[in-house]
Amino acid sequence: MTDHESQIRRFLRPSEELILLTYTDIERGRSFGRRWLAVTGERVMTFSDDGAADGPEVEVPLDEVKSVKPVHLVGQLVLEAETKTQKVEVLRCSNSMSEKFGKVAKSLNDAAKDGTYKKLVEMQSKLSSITAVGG
Amino acid sequence: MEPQSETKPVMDREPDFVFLDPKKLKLFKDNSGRLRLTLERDRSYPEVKVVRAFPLSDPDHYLGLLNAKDRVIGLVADPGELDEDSRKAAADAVGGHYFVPVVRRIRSLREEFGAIYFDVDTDRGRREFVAKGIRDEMEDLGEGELLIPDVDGNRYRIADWRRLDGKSRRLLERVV
Repeated sequence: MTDHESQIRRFLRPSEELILLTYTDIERGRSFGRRWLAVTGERVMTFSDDGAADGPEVEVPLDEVKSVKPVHLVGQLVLEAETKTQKVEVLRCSNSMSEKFGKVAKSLNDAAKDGTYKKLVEMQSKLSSITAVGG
Repeated sequence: MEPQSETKPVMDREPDFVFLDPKKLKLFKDNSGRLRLTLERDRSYPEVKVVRAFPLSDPDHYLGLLNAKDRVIGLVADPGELDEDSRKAAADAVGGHYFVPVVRRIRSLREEFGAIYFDVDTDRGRREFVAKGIRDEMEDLGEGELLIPDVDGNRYRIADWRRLDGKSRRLLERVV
């Protein structure tokens, strides 16, 4: 288990299982840098690379998510979650990681629509190879 | 009687954009985080995007405002004429739309089998990337400005290669 993973696990609730942990290459300030995406059976969260111990930067309960979509902009992709009340920018990545996060978006969207934990477990197995590459 | 000459339209069709009066519009984020546009005494758009009409040649002027379906609402010729809040909202939106890092320094550069491996400092931090076919793919925008595409579809901008430090310039001149 990496330092980041153990730091992020500290913020999980007792019954909460970490399903996906991977990183993007654009940090919250829109510069190059790692930013962690953690998906559990209950929440989608992001953590900064050097501040994982400080808690999540973005936190969206899965049961509030209506849809998740990849928004392709110039030179980057934005992962955007829509809840009943707002649109939340979850993360950004450069085009180097747009394929990976396009798949993440689709899997999260399927899980949000379906509302089942099963979909997220499937996502974990689908993403296992790219998760290894992405950390 | 002389036949009347037919009146011909100046243009075949109306232009598909209009210039918006910056004094009569408001851009702001609502509670849901969406960027809204209100045109004074006309209408309001609950979700708009802001893009540059000329992102390379004139990035500071001619902002295009698009609706949620990416249809053009209109153009703002000079964003400097917007009120302060609208100007900030537009700048934030347009700044978030583009990710084209500007190369400040080339740390190293090596060529292997037609691929060029760059290690650079940019205005968005340090980055390593690989470019192929750079002599054909690189865009020379004039006045020393270059756009270098990498193999993943990212683009890196050099504002003026002539003003890079000596080492960066020498490295670049080896491949272009």
